[in-house]
Amino acid sequence: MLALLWIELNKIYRRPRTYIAFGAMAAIVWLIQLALYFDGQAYVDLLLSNLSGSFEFSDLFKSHLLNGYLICFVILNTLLIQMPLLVALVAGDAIAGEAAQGTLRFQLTRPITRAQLIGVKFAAAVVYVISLLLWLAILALLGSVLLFGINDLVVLRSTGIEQMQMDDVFWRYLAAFCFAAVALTTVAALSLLLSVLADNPIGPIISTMSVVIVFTILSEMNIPLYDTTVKPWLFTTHMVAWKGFFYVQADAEGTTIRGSIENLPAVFRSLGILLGYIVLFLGAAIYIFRRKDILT
Amino acid sequence: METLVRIANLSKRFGSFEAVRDVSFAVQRGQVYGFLGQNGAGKSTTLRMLMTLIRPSSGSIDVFGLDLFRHRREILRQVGAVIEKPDHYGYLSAYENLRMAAVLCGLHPERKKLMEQLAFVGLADRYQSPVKTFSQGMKQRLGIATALVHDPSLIILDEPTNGLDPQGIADIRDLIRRLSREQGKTLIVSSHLLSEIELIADSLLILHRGEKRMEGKMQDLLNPAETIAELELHDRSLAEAIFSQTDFIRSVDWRSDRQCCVRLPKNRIPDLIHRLSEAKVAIQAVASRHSLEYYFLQLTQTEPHAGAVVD
Repeated sequence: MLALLWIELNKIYRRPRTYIAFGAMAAIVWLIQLALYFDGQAYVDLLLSNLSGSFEFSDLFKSHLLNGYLICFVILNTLLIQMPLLVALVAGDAIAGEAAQGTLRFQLTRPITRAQLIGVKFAAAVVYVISLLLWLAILALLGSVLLFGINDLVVLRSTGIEQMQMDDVFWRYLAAFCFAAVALTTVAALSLLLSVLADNPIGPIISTMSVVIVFTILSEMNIPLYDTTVKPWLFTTHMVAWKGFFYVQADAEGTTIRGSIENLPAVFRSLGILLGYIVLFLGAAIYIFRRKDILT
Repeated sequence: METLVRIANLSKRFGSFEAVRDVSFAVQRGQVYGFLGQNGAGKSTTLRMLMTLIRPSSGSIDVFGLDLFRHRREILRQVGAVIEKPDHYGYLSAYENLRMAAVLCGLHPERKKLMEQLAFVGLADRYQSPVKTFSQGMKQRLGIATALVHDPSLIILDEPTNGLDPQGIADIRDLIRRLSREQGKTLIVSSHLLSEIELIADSLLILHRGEKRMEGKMQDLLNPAETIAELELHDRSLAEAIFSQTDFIRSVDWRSDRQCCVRLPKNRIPDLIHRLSEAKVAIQAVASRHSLEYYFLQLTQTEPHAGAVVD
């Protein structure tokens, strides 16, 4: 299996177009970092303007607010919504792309099972997701920390602000990146399932994005009927649960409890639902692919 | 002789369209088995079923005495194939494509072994070149190398000369002969080119509109001592009388009131012309027709035309 995985990874990483995603991410991250480097204080003022009625902020607080941890949070908030497209570009191509160029025959006339092939392509997609997130971590976390330094992280919510001490932040990012890997793997599994149904990669890529966009809109809409019936079951609702690692508990005096997470069961529930979707999408992909006539 | 492939009552339907209907045949070890048929006759569909790319609607396929779909992996370890056209990863080199094929077969061959295989198909000097820079003929040869990488005993080549120039066709033909004669491989080769099949096959199956029309040994079909004389005559009834009195005529097939094909020993054509002339049957044209082409056209009921290309 490892040899087959090596083949799949070789195919992904030897294609120049794979690096478009890495290039696009770098461009966005650097643009955000550049803007905040030169005009960061204006951004902080804008952030705090909504809260200025109920909170008093010292100049010292304001000067510490703009640091590498906050900028990484801003970047993650922006990029984790766009990354499903980058994942779909590779996972959607996995079967349909091979069918379109005729190389699916090349593989299926060899002594490997179709379930093995799906398994290996899924594993390769997971490695690709992890490599994208590692790249993002290097650019957004390491890059921002080097450029702006570290300090306490302050996250703004509609209900108020969350403040974490600087030595209580790094593990939260590690956890958030791991959660994002599971969330993006869900998108990869969906894209692989749609790829099995098609003989051209454009269809699965567009279909994946359409599903993600429609589900995200449904997840964000404030319609009471959907809040309890539809939203809890949409995978897009749970893809943003990585933010849960940055929502903390406070003691009776309002001081943040180190290492705390406001609603850990909710984060685990989201994780479970995403893993369930992965199993469902992957199982369906194997079931369909094993019965599919290869006509291309 | 050992039967390597046995196909019984094989059918494949796509919705209401029946691409292959109740086809049965057997391939013996060491044979070059020709698959002949017009485009759309069902050759590729049959070969795709033989490579498990398509599931049959009914019928059975046994390879090496085992049921294909129950023992797929075991069987495919001993089968190499190029179905329709050899498609490779264009951005990878010939060597990398070949290595990939080997790994997919569960092998980890040494570089020397892979280079020998590239040399066998005449690509050793281009082993580092990306496949996207290859000509169609080179891609075909690389396709054959990837089919042979795990040293299979059964090789399936679907239209291996498609899109090749005359030299490329000759190279592939030579390669098939070497595989059969020097290495004792069993080959199933499909083509719509009569001349190609005739030059390489020991046995032949003719498919037409998804049905088997004929199966047999090439030597039985192509008796070198016989030929087909295609005659254009004025008086059919008189000619029929002459034919019935002529003992060396094997068969007569009237294609119209004026045209007929007569199977007879090659050296008796002058005798036949002499007899018809004596009986004052006006002969407008005489042509010696290739017997395989004649058979094929008879079986598929297509109007005869010049050249060896069927479609």
